[in-house]
Amino acid sequence: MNISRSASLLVLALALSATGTAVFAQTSKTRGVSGRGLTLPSVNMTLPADSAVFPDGPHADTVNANCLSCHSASMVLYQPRLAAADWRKIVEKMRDAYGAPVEAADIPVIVDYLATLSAKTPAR
Amino acid sequence: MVGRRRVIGGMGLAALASPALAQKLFDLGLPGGPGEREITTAYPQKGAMILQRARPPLLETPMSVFDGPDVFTPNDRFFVRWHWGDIPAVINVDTFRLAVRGAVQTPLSLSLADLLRDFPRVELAAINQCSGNSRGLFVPRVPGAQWGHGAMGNARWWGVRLKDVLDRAGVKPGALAVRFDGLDKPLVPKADDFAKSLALDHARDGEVMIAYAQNGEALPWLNGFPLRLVVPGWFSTYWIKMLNDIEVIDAPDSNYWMTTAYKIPDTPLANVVPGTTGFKTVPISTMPPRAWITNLSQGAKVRAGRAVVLRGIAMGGTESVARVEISSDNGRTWLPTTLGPDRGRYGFRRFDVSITLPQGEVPLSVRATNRAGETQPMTQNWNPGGYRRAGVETISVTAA
Ligand code: HEC
Repeated sequence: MNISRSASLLVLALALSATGTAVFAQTSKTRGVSGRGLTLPSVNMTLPADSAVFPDGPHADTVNANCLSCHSASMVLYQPRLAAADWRKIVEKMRDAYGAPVEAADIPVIVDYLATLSAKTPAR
Repeated sequence: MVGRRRVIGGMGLAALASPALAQKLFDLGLPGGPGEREITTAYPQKGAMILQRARPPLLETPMSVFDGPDVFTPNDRFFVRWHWGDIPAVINVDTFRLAVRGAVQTPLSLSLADLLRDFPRVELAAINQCSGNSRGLFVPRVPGAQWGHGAMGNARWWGVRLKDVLDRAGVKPGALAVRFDGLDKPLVPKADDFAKSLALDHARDGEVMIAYAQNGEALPWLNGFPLRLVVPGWFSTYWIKMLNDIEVIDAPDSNYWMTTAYKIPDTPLANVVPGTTGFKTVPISTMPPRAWITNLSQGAKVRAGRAVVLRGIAMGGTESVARVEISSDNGRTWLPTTLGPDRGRYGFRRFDVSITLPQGEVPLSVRATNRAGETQPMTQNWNPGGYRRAGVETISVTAA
């Protein structure tokens, strides 16, 4: 074992006696699980921020409040042109299949917003 | 982005994105649009990728990456696809465990060291392709992730046979299937966790594997570090990422992601006439043969009356690629191509051919046929989920 490695193990041991989180940071830098020529290092990753919202328009607030918690707006904005009835099915699917807490009273305005926006995309 | 919420493009609104924030855009050329996407380099362990969705991430591989020379897709360009937003950011390799439980004699809790050292290591080259790859090109268009062709990649996977792990646990008589679950979780309590199952015989076929390495390195975090199921010849939906739970079940899987999502018409090529309803559906499974030209794209300009080299990649699905042909007359006549080395039955195979084109707009179609004689139809198949696109891909180029 080389010096830097034993030093880092010492730091690790000290960290271990202090807090659990410090151990994570240390582990990810210095150690891994190895076997037969392959090492799997611990990971500590971050995803880029995503602050995109829906374009302004009547009821954009309701759409922002209901449609951004599970996925980015792009999941919605990159859809092809869809009719109001299709948007209604999608909103109901979000509620029924994926547990989105959408109030019944909000559905018509959400559908209206999406259908209006969608109508600006060429048909195909 | 300076302390301001950003409005993204799409739905004909690309113009609204503020110029200061303008990113490099890439046009997927989806019929009717919107097909413009940002190219991002902001994701950990990933190079330039087409940003389909920031959260949970959907990152598409640009077609240029498949232009070789290798048949394997670099890990940092390998496509990314998650369903639910709770993806653990910290994974400690010392404490990580893979559970094997349910209808087994001896439930197991395997460490990564156990998997690396105590089971035979196997290597397999296989394509991982999203069930909805190319969905954005369906006509009529269908809702869902609007992918171009880049929701796929080919890698050399190292890992252990699922069979060996199941045998160590000892599957009980009467077991029907095996369900696989990963560390990612839904953001709402009411929804079904993303999990998939395979019939017991399939799970024990000796080919399905638990991979701990992709192209000789640890799996990228976004591709399922530390373990992912590899189901050769089958669509990606079964290749559970961050695999930490294997449950042998003795009743049919009732999870939403098996019973409702990822279902295709039980018809040849999963094809139905747009607008049809009430057809029988089955869970999606095997991949069909497909092929793409990778050195030219839609609208490219080439020299007329002179030899032009066309090259690309093909896949056979469940069997090796037997041949790849090119047509410049909408499938009336076909020209054979030369295949590159066979690097594994479940992987990509390169092809190239030299062709002389007449002046004008020329459609270039490419057709793969596998060893089982399965070949790509000229007409695209269609279904409302936008799954399992199988038809010949055609690009139109201008020869002058
Ligand atoms: C409780 C979580 C949740 C909320 C809230 C939510 N969605 Fe979704 N949505 C999902 C999931 C899960 C998917 C499937 C994700 C995937 O395939 O990657 C999805 C997919 C979609 C799709 C793609 C089409 C499809 O059927 O898969 C659209 C469009 C969509 N959502 C629109 C909306 C709209 C509009 C709202 C606001 C009313 C909304 N979503 C709110 C969870 C949610």
